[in-house]
Amino acid sequence: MHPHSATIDNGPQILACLVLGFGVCWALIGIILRRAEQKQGFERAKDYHHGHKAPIPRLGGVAMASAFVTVALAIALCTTVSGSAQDELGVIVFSSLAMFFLGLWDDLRSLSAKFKLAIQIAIASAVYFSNIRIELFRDPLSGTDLQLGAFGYLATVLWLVSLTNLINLIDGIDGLAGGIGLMLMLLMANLGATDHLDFCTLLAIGVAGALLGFLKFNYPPARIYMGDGGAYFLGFLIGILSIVNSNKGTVAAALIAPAFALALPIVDVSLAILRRGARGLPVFRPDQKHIHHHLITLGISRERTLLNLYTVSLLCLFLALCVFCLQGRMLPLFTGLLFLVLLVAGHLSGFTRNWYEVGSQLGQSLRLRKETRYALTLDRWFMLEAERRSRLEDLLEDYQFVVRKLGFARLHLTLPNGVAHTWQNEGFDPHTTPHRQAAHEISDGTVVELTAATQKMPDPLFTLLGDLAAEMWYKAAQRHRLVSAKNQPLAATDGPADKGAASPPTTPTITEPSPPDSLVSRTIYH
Amino acid sequence: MTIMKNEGNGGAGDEGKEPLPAARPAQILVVDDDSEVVNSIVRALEHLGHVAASCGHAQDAMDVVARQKIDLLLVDYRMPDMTGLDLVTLLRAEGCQLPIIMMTGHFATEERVPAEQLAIHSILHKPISLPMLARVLEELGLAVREV
Repeated sequence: MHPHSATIDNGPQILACLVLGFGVCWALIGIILRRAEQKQGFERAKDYHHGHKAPIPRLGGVAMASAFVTVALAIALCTTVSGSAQDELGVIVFSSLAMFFLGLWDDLRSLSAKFKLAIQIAIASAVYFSNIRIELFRDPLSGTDLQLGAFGYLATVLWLVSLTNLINLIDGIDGLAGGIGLMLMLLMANLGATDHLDFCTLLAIGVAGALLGFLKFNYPPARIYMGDGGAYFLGFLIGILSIVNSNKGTVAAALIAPAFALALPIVDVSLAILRRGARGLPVFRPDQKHIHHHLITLGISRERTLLNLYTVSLLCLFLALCVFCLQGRMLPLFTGLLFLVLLVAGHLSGFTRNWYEVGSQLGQSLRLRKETRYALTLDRWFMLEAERRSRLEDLLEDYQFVVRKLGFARLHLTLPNGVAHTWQNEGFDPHTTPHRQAAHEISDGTVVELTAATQKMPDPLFTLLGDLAAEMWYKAAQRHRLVSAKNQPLAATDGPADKGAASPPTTPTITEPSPPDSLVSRTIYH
Repeated sequence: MTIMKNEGNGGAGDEGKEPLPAARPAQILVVDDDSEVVNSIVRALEHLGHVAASCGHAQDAMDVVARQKIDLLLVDYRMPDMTGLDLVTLLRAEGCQLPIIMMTGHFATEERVPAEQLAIHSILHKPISLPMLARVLEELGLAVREV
């Protein structure tokens, strides 16, 4: 018997895992939604870049992870899992849960990108030292195996961390990450099953069931999101299951097949990294220029956008299955076919224009780098001010300064409570000066509208600086809120003092510790 | 083709200086090939108290401007037969002095728009919100209902 295998009767077991995963996830989401309706506070304001509108709970991942644990327990209790397989199952369950909790933590309290990356690397390293690792690399052309040795550690960590973040990066529209996750879980189930039906297959089937339950609520218009918790969990699970499968003799194919199936998000994220890198932005900074944003701005409905992306992903999945069935043989042919699929899809959606523009925009982007550097410096200053300012009015004044420094002529800021602020640069007359306007809607309901004279700010610069400025406000307001909440108890004892910006950081003094939503009346700054 | 001159409706260089008559609803033409965008903008304009018509092609827009009394043009940058910029250049060459607002998508990597030469009042980046539309109409001296 294969060491990983569990003694099982295939059909009923598969069905049981599917139903169990679906049932637990579906029921839990029902409970979460009911709770969320009762208590709106149990959710963090969503990311500025996630293109969703109404406040919707981000706890879908909780239901998914719970379903996953239930299925894993059921497998451990109801099937005979051999000793080494039991250890492996334990590593998969605990590491996936660790990744899930990291994401959930980020959902509840925004964590810094470096901290998240460090923890992800730590979890991936723990997996490596628990003997789930990429050890071999098979040259797809010659078919010879290379022992990776110490590079195996790098390959394992890179693979797990990349997949964990990949799913999170494409989780921008309803149903996309869940749908692609479902396809991948079915692929995983297939990869496990072709060798011998074992716990990996059952686990993948269970999570596929959970994803079906999740998609019932996440299909547009979504009532729940998977959140960073769900996305980390799903991406990591795809990564670790494919490594476990690859250890069963199908080395190359088990790793290449998921990479094929994930071709769409991989290409999309690679382009995003190129785009940001060229402009001098941090490469992992999210933006609203992913392929799904592109389709939506073309005027295609969310549902049709999703169905188009599903179709492309299904084609990639089909090629992935072909690669796997042929054990990595004819890989160059399938790679060519994959590129063809992506190119045709890109052309049909008009997205190739953007691909071609990556090259032509490179020179332009290099020119934008200087502006980007300046904006990022202002950003750092503004974030520090956000911590020091006790009153939102003061923060608004700082923001007005930032916006002016960036070269904008006018700012309209509408807060989530509907209160609006307007600032206009002296000397700017909208009646006589041709200008550009753009509204940046942040998912907590804030709208940042920016205006600039066309002569002063041509398009690529206007879009870049507008995105950065809107994001700056979102991050600073969030930081300000956190710091204010932390300092609030001190304020009661400290009594009135001067504005926080001038106070030493060790003695936070707050004059009016009012929550941001209640504070501002309609103000016009000049 | 003769383009009707909308005298008194604000000119190429002086929009805003002589505001459009505020009492009556303005006739606004929206030129965009994207029906979803057009529908939402037309609805928004009607909500603001104006009369809006639309066409999906630049050529149709030229015909409408020639035949009907239009107070304001909203033109999309990217269209199938010609760019919005080409349309505005043609209209201005024909002597049309209507106030023009250009709309552009997030992905339109437009060339530098000679907004001054073509007397384009403003460029609105999509997605276009109701308050943004209201503000730009106010700048042009058009009355708007409370948003």
